Amino acid sequence: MKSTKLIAICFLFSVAFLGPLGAIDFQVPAATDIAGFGTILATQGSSNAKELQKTKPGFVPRSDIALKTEYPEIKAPSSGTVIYSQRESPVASVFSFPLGGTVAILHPESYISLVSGLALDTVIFNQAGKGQENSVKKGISMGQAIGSGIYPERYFGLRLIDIKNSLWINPLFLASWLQDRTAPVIQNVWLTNENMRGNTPIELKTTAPKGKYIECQQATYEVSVAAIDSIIPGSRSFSAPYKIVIMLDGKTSIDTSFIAATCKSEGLSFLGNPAPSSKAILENGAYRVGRIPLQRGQHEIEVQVSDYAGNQSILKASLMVN
Amino acid sequence: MHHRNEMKKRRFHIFAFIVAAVLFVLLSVRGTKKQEQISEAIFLPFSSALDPASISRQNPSPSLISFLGDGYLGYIDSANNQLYAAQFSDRAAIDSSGWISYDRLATALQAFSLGSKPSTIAGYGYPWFKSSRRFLIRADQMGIAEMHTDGSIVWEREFPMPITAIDATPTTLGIGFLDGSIRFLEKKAQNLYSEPHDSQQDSQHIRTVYGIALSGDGRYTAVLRGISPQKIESYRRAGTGFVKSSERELPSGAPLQATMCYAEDGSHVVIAQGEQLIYYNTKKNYVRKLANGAASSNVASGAFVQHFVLGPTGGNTIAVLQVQSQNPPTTKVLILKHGIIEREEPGAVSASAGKGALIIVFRDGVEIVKGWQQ
Repeated sequence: MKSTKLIAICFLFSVAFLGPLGAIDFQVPAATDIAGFGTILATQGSSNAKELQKTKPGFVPRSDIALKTEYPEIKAPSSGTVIYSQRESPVASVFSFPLGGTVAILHPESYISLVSGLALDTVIFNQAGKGQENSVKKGISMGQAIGSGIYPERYFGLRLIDIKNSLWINPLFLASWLQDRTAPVIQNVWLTNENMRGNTPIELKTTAPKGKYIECQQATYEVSVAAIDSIIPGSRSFSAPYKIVIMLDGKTSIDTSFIAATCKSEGLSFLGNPAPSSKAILENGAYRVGRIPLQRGQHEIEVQVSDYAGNQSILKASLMVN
Repeated sequence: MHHRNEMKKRRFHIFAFIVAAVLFVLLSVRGTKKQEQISEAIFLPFSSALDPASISRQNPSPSLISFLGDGYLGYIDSANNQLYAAQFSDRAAIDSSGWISYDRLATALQAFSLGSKPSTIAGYGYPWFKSSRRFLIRADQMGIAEMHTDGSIVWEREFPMPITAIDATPTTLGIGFLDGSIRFLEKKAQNLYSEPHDSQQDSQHIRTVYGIALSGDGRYTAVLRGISPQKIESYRRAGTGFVKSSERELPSGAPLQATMCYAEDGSHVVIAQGEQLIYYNTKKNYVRKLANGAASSNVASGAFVQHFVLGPTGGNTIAVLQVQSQNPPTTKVLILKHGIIEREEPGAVSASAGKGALIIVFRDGVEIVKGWQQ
């Protein structure tokens, strides 16, 4: 049932959003573990260990998916032209870029896929740059997944860029083999009064006793949601959920998703937030999903968090706005 | 009478011969003066190296030259022929203030400052040091930060495309991207110049940037990009930004990843791409593919050769590392003077220069070539 739903979502996504992407015959390798698009790259603890550190490099949503497959050999997900190949230096005296062995392939309709964290095959590395000879066919071996930079050992990464529309596409929509029966977990939802940012935000999950109202002042509130999803049952990685919808008194107030990230001069924009991507996340790791104006009176708020297979978790709360 | 004239002629010839001989000797001495200056080469093994922790931060020797090898890093006191070295297990970056060692996952950054205790730096990227500046390239290659020596972040920038090329001077940072766009940032990361990719006009012709090199004074830059054709494009500083001054097509057929740098005197750029080594004369705007025989002498048949530009070694010289993928892999450092081999150092893994000395780094020690002035 769920997989039927997933196929339907994939189809709608392809038709409505990606347009011609379906034509490029793109195959995301079947994985035993996935960290999905939008998942925070570095955990808060590891990136904030030093007091002097004013910013937290890596505390951003990921623009790729990290995968671990049963076998380390990684094949080209689609045919195209190699436009960039990157290999780790064989000696430590020469700097290597963090993504390790990487191949960027230009596909029809101006899509670029980027596969990283590989021990790149010498053949793939050397054939590039020779005019017509730098084309690759779907399914040819590109190398072994060894991990690098943001990919742990035996993991590799996959990114998909729509150059024409300046978008980073969530590659999970092309993983037709996904079978997810577990709903995402809503850890908490916060409402932050935009006019009183210094005040403690209202926590919907912990301060909403059943049948009682949460009292708050009339204002516009920023809504942030902490939620995780396990895409592959039993895997060790947690991912960002796919879609977050906020209903206020039965009407949709916020509808946002990790369908894609938009390229801006300052970096990437997630969930409609301004770039750089760090602006989509609060210090506690919650996603900024949008704003809702709360007028005086009683209100019912419903937070719906869905995953790629359509599994959904709901958090409801009653508000008394003074 | 006739006899006297003959004698005079003979005396004149002898005198002219003596003058010519003296001039020849003098000129010969002048011509070989440089060779005499670099006649002293001292090898210092790592087994006899001192601990770099013994270098005082308050009183560092003015003649210290940092080096990064393959498993060893440290400093050379060329005036006192002293080697300070430490081992590192994975990767590292070093400058005159200390070094940072890190692993593939960029989560365990260990900072060593001269005269201070080691510390852990919170970071999520690969440290990259250039021109007395310390950068952290974010682990997903989508951002860069500049750090103080204590690891604190000065500024941080994110980009909409992965970084594929980078170079820096004390005043300018040049970055190239996967989609062919380039950006030059000033000291506080404000845009000096940017050339974005026009997604609407040119979406099927991506001209990825494979290499970028800035001249030492930050006034000139060379950008390597595109496949068919692949071009090297020159930019020069104009007012507060940069303008393109020339471009040149390059021979095709090389892997799509490059290392490149300007010579210290700004006369030329050397580009390394896999087996290929290219000399680009920036003054006269011509390129020369360095002949395989010259650049890759003694290469075993069937071996895959990779070249990496290590950096300028003073004047008109540039150090290049050659790695042959034999089993085991063999390395060699080439010092190129205007693209012509000046020195070959088989077995070496790195080179650096400064304070009138050239440092050649081997796996078991370091050679100091004194009087290195090009």
